[in-house]
Amino acid sequence: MITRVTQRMLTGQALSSVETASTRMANAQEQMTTGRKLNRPSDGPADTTVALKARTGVTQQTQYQRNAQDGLGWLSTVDTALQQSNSLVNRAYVLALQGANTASNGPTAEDALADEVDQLKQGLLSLANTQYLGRPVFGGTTAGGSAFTLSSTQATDANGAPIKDANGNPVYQVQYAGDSGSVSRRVGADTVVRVDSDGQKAFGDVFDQLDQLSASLRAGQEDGIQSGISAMQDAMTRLSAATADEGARTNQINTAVNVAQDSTLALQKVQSDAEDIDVAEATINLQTQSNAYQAALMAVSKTSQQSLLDFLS
Amino acid sequence: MTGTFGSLNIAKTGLQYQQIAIDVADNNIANVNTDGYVRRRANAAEVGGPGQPVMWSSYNGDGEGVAAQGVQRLTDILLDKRVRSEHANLSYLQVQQTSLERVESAVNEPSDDGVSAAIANFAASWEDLVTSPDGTAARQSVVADGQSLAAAINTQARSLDSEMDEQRAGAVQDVQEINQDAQQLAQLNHAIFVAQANGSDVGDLQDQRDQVALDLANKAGAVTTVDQATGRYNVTIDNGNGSSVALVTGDQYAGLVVQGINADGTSTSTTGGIPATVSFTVTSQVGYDAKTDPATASPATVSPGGDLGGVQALLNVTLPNYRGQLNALAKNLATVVNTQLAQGFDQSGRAGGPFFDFGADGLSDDYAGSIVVDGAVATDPSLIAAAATRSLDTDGQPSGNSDATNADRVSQALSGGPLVTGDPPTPVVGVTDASGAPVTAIDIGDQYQRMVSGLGSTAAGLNTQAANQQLLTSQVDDEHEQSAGVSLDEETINLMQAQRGYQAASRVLTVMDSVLDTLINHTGA
Repeated sequence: MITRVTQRMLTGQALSSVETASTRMANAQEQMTTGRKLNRPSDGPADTTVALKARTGVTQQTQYQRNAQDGLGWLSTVDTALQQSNSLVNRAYVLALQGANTASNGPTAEDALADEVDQLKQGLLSLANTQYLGRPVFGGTTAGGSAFTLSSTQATDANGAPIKDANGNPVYQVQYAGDSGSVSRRVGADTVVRVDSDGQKAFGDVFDQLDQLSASLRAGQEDGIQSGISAMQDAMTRLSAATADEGARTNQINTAVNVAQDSTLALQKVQSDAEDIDVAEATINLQTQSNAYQAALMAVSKTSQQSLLDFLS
Repeated sequence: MTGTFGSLNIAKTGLQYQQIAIDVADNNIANVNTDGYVRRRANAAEVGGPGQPVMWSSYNGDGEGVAAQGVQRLTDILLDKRVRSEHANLSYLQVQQTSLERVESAVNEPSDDGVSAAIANFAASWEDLVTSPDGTAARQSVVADGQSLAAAINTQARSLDSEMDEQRAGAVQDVQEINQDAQQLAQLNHAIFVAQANGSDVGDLQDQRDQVALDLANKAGAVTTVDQATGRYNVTIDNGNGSSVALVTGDQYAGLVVQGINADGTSTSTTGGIPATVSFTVTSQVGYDAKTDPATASPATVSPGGDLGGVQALLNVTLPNYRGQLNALAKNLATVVNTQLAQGFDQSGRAGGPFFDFGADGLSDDYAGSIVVDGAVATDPSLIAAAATRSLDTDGQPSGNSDATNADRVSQALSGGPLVTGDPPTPVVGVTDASGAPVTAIDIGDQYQRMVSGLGSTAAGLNTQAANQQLLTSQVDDEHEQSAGVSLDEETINLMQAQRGYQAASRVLTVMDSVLDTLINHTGA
């Protein structure tokens, strides 16, 4: 119980209430101006952990999306290369079917077919060496720039005889220059997707088969052409399988991108809930604190002016 | 019945007393805003007949007027003690609160440029390296993000170090002031004792002594007790074991000495970035006689409260703990990254070297203060072992390839993924964390978040405690002010009372003068 009130008590209390009110107003103002209620860890130790985890999560999910974009770049390059390869092989298959009618075709026509098959082989080789950002997409993790190169070994036909081209020059075998590694992208916390294509599996022995088909057409060998037809069918099957596989992985990445985007939004909301102010609430809070401050100031001005001396003559 | 002139004497005592009452009220009013001033009151007592009845003698007067019995300081010993102890508690909390506020703003979390963000960015840049392991751009950005992370940890370690420097300087200053206060209090004890013996007014000396005692409580949490026999103040400091050590006894005083801090405020030793423990002792008393009082001969360890106690808690517990956690974080970060990189191969197919070092020579034990990106890797980022496999060139020599599985593993390991080697991956064995415990994975991000959250909890706890203590202290201060403070209204009334009393006593003189006039000039004429 207060039995005796002195001037120093009055001014002391006035000072401390004005200080309290102005501290509260400063806090409210800090929240308003920064737009954040979490300006230091002690503002909410538990919220701090939530906010830090959410921030780290947002960085991770953004990175997954970046990884996914890069992965999609790889896969669409692979897709284009495989589809074009497929149409080239399909053309070789049509040419082989035409060449199979050796009776009606003259040697000149057969030579023309063989020339086109040679060109298709060159086109296919260039497609098999398709690069994405300087790296061969069918070459695994090779440090070199090509997945397939010409070897120093001469190509041979089914009977083991060396093959010569239209000008009589030796034809060299195409060999795989990549390695067995694979290129993968992490598109989710536990989702790693392969984004290249196994060149050996997709192309197989198609280059040797094209060499042999070309030689068979030039020589007009019915057996060789027939085995070439079935080899081209096999090659198309392999390329289609690779395309299907690549398509499935593209879908997987697209799904992962959606998941990552949703997660990013959700995490940003979590972060915002932990860190940011509710503007309406903060505005009202600031107004309330401002009123309290004014009231404290007014109380001081009322009490500190009064004295018994005013009433004595 | 007294003689006629006796009445004049009574009026004179009235005038004298009222004069004293006016002076006391005047002095109270003059000191209305003086710190530590305790209001005074002039106590009046009636002068009567002889206290001892004497044979054949009787007192037949009706009172002999008034006498000022002395000037009383309106203070309350128990309340004074309470004020001192609450102020000591408040200083203890406030000094820690202020310091942690600074640490918190140095830690700067949650934000876009704190250590937490640097860890996340560092992990992300490893994923970027996965997408282009053959270029130098991504490798350089891993180095740059690694340097940013190391710098962020260094900066935090340094701000903790400078906070500890500041607290040590504060402790040295406090000790110096406490020793001056102790000396002053002993001198005041002596001065008051002597002045009281020769009857002088000692109110102002007592005010001073109360101020010094309060200052000692604020600075060292020292407990002041009053020696009932002599009225002198004895000051003691708690020794943490339920008993206490004397700092001032009567007119003798002892010296407080700090251990673990040099005179210039530096720490006496530093191990792994963590300075020596700080402790305080009270040395033997000045002017003490070893023959009569051997108990105080050797320095006694004390655990002070107040400012000094807060500083001690900061320097021995709070700050070194956080600094130690930061060291553990830096050590674990280097362990995770270096261990995982050792499982991989660089762009030339060589086994991976370390990414983080401690100091230029790699030997520093101040992990958080010295963590840097390895000089060789910083100059030649192709040394970063991004690949989990290597190839053989045509001569059968190892050569690099464009595999980046190991970079992904580093990124995963930073957020708690297992440390693995080979393909298919198998756990790396023999890894130990900063505390020496065997581990298979360390979540660096999580470890840091827990540190920051812990710091926040400590700071929030202190904030609440300090706010409560502030309320309690101002309440006790109010109680003290109620009894000891000067009320201008009250003094004005006292002044008026004394004035009227003086006027009335003067009036008595006039009346007596008139009576005597009648008696002398108009009687028997």
